Amino acid sequence: MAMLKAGLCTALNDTVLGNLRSVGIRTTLDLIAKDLENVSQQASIPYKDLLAIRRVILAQYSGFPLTGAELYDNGVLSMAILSTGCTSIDELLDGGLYTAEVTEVAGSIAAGKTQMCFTSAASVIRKTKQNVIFVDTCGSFSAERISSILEENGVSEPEQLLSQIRCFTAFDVYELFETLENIRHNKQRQMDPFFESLKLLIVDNVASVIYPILGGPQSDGQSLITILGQKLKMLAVEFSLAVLVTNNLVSSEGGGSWSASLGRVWSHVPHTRLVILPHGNKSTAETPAMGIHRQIKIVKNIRAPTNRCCNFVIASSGLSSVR
Amino acid sequence: MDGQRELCTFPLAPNHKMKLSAAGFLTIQDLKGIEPAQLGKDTGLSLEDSEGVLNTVNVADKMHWKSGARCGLSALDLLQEEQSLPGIITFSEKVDQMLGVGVQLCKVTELCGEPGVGKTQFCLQLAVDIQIPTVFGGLHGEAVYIDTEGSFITERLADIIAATIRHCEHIAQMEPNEELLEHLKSLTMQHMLTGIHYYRCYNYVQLLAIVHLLPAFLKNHPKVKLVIIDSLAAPFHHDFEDFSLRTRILTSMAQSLVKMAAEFKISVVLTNKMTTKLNSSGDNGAHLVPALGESWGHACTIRVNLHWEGDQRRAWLCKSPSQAETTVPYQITTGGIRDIIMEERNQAQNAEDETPVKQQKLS
Repeated sequence: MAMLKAGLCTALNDTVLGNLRSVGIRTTLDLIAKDLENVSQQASIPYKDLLAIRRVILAQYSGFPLTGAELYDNGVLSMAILSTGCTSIDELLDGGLYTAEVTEVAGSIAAGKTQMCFTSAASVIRKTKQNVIFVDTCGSFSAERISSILEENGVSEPEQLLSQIRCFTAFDVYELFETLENIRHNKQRQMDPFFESLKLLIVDNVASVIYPILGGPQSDGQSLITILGQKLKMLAVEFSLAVLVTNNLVSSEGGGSWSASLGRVWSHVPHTRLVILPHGNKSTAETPAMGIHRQIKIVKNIRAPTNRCCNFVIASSGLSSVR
Repeated sequence: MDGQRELCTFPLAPNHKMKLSAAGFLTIQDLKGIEPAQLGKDTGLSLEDSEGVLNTVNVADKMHWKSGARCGLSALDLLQEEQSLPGIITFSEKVDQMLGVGVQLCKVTELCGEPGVGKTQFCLQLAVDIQIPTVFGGLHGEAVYIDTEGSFITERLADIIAATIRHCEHIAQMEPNEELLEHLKSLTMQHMLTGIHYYRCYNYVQLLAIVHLLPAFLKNHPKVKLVIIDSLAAPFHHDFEDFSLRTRILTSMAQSLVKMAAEFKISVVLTNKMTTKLNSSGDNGAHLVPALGESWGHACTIRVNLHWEGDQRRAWLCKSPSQAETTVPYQITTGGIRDIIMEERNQAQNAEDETPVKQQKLS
């Protein structure tokens, strides 16, 4: 729990704080859990003051109830649906990527996860005046590819749009935390106009920073996953961002069925989960001109029915739908 | 600095984190202005540990606020950077085209394939090509070669170097000018052999140690533009009972290599073996897949699969964020990796005049 600090309320000054510490009360939890009459006698602080301090602490650290109507109004005001740039995936997602939500796309090697991120980023900067942050954890960011996706979609000077994307690199989970902290900091300070109109945050790929810390004798990995999930959701909700993360696909023990990696703890983090289904090993290489065909399935969603599939193709213009 | 970052998001030992949070230290703010002795008293950490904690937090925090990294890099700047970065040519035009501009700098490229298909040949070729002077279209760099299998054969390397030098002489003859001739003089077998820093490594502990020490080496040798690990699979193929440990080691090593590639603007090339995978349905029997498992497959940014198609060698780009999936043929000659030259093509265009000799892998 948080530490007791001088200045939290008028009664809590340095002398009172010193007295409390001398009887072993350091954190807010210590104070609330103790019997105040005893504390008052031991630390020789007036009982009335302690009561006042406790009241302030409780008020400060408790949540505030909101009515459904207020939430709804807030939602209507701040919510945006961002297109992924591929109509069939948009339909699957009931419009596209929702702000204040974490969307995850899982896929096996070369399934098109990064291409989906690029297409979404290109679509957001092309169709809206909003900005995109791309957090690259595995060296996959390619400005050239995004630029060519823009060009293929009829943008004559993609260079002008590209400044609407910023790229951070984070090669371990702590660097990722640092980056997320930065984004929060910049968003809160409202000094940089770029962050003002930031709407989409992409993390490609979450699994690469988690794998090195997962498992083994330390249980630290699981707690870091939980914190990472919290941070992403906090950014999404507090600043009304759409968060798109990618994950790997692993086959289950017996083989045959596939699921997104990182285990159960992580599986509760994304609001929406898409899985790009594993494809045949080499058949796709035969007809490069036609693009590469993939099937994508929605396995978790709040508002749209799940377990539906759609097809898309990875072409020079990014992902596009096929019927 | 607003100091709101939680301490649990710093790289601290789990038991230190627990002690800190039990004593009410949750964010950077809480640690501000506190002395190690005081922190030790408040949390029950030893003086040494308290100093460690404060150091980790302060260093991470300061480094970070000083560097411009906190606003991120604009994609526009990155585009210009990407376009200005040269690639490492492979001497096969088709393979170069497939990869964009040859093997890309700042990226980790994985070559996988069956024995004898030419993985080591590619590595040797690249280790030589990286040293070609800029006037001849190279990068004038040096290479680090980490050999885990003992497949690094110097005689073979000498063949490739000789052919490469001949190639440069050819260019110099075609358009003789002072500068080219000047560079040609320094281009000797001796010189090119010195430009390869060779490590022989026998097990995964050694490999990990080398990868760990590489950043310091790269700092002292700024000319190094290419790191080759041939093969990555060998040390991880056996001796592992705990597969989750293997995954952890492999993925964290991959992350340090990816980081190294981006930080030093070098290219990292790894080779991997193929392994048999039984189809789960059981009706199609088995097929060959790259070794080291599914999770490893995600680790490299670019993956090239080398295989035979009839009696022709093919390179299949199966994973790349920027290039489309393609397959191209190539061949291995005494001089190294080459395109398969069609009869009708103008031979004069090609500096090489050796007859293509199918060569089995020497190792």
